Amino acid sequence: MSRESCTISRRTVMRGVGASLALPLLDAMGPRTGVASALADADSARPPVRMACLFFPNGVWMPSWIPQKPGDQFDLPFSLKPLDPLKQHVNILSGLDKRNSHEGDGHYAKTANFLTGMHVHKTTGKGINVGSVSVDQLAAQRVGHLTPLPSLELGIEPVISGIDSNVGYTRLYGSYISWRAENVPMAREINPRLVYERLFGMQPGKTAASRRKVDDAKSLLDLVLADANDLRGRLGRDDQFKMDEYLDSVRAVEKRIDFATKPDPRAWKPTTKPTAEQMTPPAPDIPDNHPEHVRLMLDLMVLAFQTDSTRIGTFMFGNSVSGRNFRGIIDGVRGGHHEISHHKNEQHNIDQYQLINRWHVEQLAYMLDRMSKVREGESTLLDNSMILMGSGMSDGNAHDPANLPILLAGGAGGAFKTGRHLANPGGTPLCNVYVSMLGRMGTPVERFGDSTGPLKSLDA
Amino acid sequence: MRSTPAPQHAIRLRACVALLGTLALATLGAAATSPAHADDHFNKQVRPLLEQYCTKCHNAEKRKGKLDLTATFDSDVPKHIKVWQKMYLPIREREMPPDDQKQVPEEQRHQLLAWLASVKQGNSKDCSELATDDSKNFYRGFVMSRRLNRVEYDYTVRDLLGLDHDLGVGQRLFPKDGSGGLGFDNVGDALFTSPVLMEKYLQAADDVLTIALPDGGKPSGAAPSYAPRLTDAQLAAVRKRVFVAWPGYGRAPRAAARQVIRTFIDRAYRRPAADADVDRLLTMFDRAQHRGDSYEASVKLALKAALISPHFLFLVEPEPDKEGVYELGDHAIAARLSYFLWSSLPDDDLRALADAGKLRDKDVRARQVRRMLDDPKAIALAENFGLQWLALRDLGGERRPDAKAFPEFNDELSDLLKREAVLFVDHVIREDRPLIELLQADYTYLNDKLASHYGIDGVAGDQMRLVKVTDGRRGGILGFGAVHAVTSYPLRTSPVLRGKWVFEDVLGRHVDPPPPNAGNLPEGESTKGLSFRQKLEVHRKRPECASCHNKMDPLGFGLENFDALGRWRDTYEGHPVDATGVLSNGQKFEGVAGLKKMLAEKQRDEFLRTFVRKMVSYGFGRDLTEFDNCVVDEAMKAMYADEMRAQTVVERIALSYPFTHRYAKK
Repeated sequence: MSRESCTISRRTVMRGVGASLALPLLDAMGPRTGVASALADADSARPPVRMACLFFPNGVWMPSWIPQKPGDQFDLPFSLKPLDPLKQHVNILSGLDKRNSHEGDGHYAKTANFLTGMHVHKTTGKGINVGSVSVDQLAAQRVGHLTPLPSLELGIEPVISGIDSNVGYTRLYGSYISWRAENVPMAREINPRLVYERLFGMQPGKTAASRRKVDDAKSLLDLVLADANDLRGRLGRDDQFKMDEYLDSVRAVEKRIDFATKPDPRAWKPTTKPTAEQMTPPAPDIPDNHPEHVRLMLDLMVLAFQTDSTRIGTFMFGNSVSGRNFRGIIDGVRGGHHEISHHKNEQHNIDQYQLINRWHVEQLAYMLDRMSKVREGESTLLDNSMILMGSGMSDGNAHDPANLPILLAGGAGGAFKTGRHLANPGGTPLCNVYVSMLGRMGTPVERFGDSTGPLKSLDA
Repeated sequence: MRSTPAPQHAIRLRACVALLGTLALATLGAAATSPAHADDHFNKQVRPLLEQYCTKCHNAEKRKGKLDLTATFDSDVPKHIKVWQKMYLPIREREMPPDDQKQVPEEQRHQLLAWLASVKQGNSKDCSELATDDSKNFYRGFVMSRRLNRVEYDYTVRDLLGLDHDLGVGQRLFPKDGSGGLGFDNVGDALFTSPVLMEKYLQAADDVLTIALPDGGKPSGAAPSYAPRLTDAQLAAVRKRVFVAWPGYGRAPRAAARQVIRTFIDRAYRRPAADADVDRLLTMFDRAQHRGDSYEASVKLALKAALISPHFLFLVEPEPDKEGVYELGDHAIAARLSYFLWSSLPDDDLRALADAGKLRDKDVRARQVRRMLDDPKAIALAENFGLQWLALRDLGGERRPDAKAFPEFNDELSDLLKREAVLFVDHVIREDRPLIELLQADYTYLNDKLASHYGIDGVAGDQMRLVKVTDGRRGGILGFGAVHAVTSYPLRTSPVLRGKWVFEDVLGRHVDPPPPNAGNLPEGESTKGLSFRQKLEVHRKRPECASCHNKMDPLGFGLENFDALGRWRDTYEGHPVDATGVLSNGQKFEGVAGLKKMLAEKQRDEFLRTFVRKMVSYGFGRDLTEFDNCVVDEAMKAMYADEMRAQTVVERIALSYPFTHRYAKK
């Protein structure tokens, strides 16, 4: 039977990436000994670089988000205050923009393309398309084979039901930032226990039964791969794409199993073992308490990076248009997030809006703090990471797509200089940041989305 | 090539070829429609009205409401059918032209409406034809072979194993599915498969077999804790249904396994198993046997493969080699019927009819629809179609009243509120009631808790049952507490959200989103001491707000007597509730009873049409285009001719041409 074990199926490249990619990526379609491994091996003495992209919905109150002064001498404004102890590890990026989000209404055209930067096709179902593979998945398709999981997609809220007939988009767009191809979103996990099982569940070898289960899984997947290949030929063109998603998914799981059963290709080994507390499985059910839920997910992201289970992650604090009620979570806030974000320039709404913004920054600070305490030789996990956090719009009241609120923490393995407010000229593409990040992931591209080049000011 | 394409077709043709690269010239050329024809009536009667009253705003430059009526001046009337459809209701409801613009004189207004209605009807095509140029284009791009959604997965497993309740494996393990089409999670375009889901499929298959077919038939401690415990009798019944053969008495294990597998996948794959399917699964049986597993364990490994196979997980509709319209096979039709009405696989009766090649017969199919709607499994239609149509699914999840302001709200109440909606919609369909009862009925479904929540006396016991309600407050979708709750903010009710819900979800109308920075109350105008409604009225005075809010808010005011949990109130924030509404067409109503009466009498057609459209979209598992209006029109006609009966609509959808036909694109 056919074992197409290339790291990226050709179709994914053809349909997902399009012309915006520089040539080197095509090398990833070669066998595993290709460029990507060579790159990683060259760096083998050093810890790998990790990237996470964190999204929060409904924008921010800009006056309390953007520092007044650029450079490294600035005061953190109200909403960013929680970052104070970590200030030297963070860059505040202002002036960034997603050109392709200036058309299209409301939230959806600004969320689904948060990590693609391309146009979101307006549809209630037919022809769902965000213009490109997302930045995290592009990296995963190139270097994901170096870790047990190519990437990790986490969220808090289930996918939103229905379509928004008001603006003419399926609400599905508001639920995904990670896209495997321009027309295939990556499913997110919202149950911490299931994330934990995903990270540490498929480790064979301990008992004969578990070894057998993994062996069986390989045969089972081979079998259904043959089924799907047979079936594919009998389907119409559009239906074949759906079968391709299935085929790609089966192959991805196969690769995961291969990884677990073959010698570990990694030269670098994590230096800080997780504590017993870290390795305690979360309760089976999703916590009712929102802050607890968020922290568990962030803990798991850190744990995944710390153990080198994956190097790439995304997290959504909430879906686009989330109406989460923060009463009882944040003192002084009563009411739904989205409702409050339409603050009507009324002070009592603005007060609550910036408190919600600040709460999200507090969660980031929590994550960064944890990462800064994980030693990796001479450096820390935070030093070796790129943690981007932001929203798809600036002022939520106006659904303003310009001057996006973006934070980028971590030194990217010494490549980025942090502790600065980088005030970019208005209209600088957010995708320039992604080009810089991809460079650091060992997946260099010339262009991504609407980029005009890397964001050079990040460099150390 | 039978005809030479007109120039505009040639251009489109070139674009298509450039795009797709492989289209044969002959096919498109043959399908070219007649060139644009001038329409005398349009030029003499309609166009002058448009120029006088409409194109000041709806022109190529301003494109107010994204509508440019000057584009219709090419007088190709059929080409602009979407425009005519979009114009009809706003004019009839006197929303257009807006109040501050010159109004169309009454007589001409009626003429214009009559003309718009006639194009609407006149364009309807022969309902038993797909192969027009339009239909081809519309079929292009729709995904029709799709995976099961997570609810369907659970119901399918339930019926595959012959259980009377589902195991909840899919709903526990799989991520929630997104929606497409007119808002349903059974739309192929919006159902994706990703690596996470594939991992879950493996685990789900494991869980299903561990729960329902434990080794040796004894309940096992290995069953996942989230699953309901099956009784010994249930376990024995599943075992009997699955293990139809055992080795012994001269029967080799492999021969027995072959029989078990064949029987299992006849059902699971929703078509007669091919030898190749059985043989392939037998390799898993062999593998387990080879290493010394028991017969039972070996068979289960093969069944596990079946449960993660695309033959099981996908509703597959194979296409013939030849391009063109084709009729679906009997088994594909059986699956369409059973997933439409039951969200599950075909039962033995349906399979037998499919095996016998009888399901393409309309009479047979009509009888099956009635039989299937009579089956308890048909409650899936109310659960899945009903709750999604009314946008009630997320109540208790993403849509949740504030816990401090509404401590009475909990998961139990949330479930009861949704249950009322499900049982009510189920009743209307199963008892074949007139669909107008969805708006106006003298009954609803309650138990003691929900009745006391609503302040209704005389209902004892926790069993939900049909209760007569005669004060006009309950009975019908506008009286559902679930509706009042999902159309509220966490801390307060919102006449705007409620009005929008009625306008869009119930009447199928459309409003544009508010402009950026909307929401400022006029400065310098004191709103202190005003009721919430009065403040909103001030807001509505601004013309840029008024054009939409005048359509929505009055409808929402009709529900002012319901609080955010659906309880009745006579005062709100210290002010007496004012639940009167005046629409832009001058119609006035008083409270929810008045609103129901007005909608049932004056907007009956819009309401029913919206319901029918949504159900057609659900039944087809895809979005609708103007070509589908023909199915909608026919269903409406049949329904009116039959006292508006619910099952008539379901039947017409199942008997419609697109339900059993597809276009094969090559």
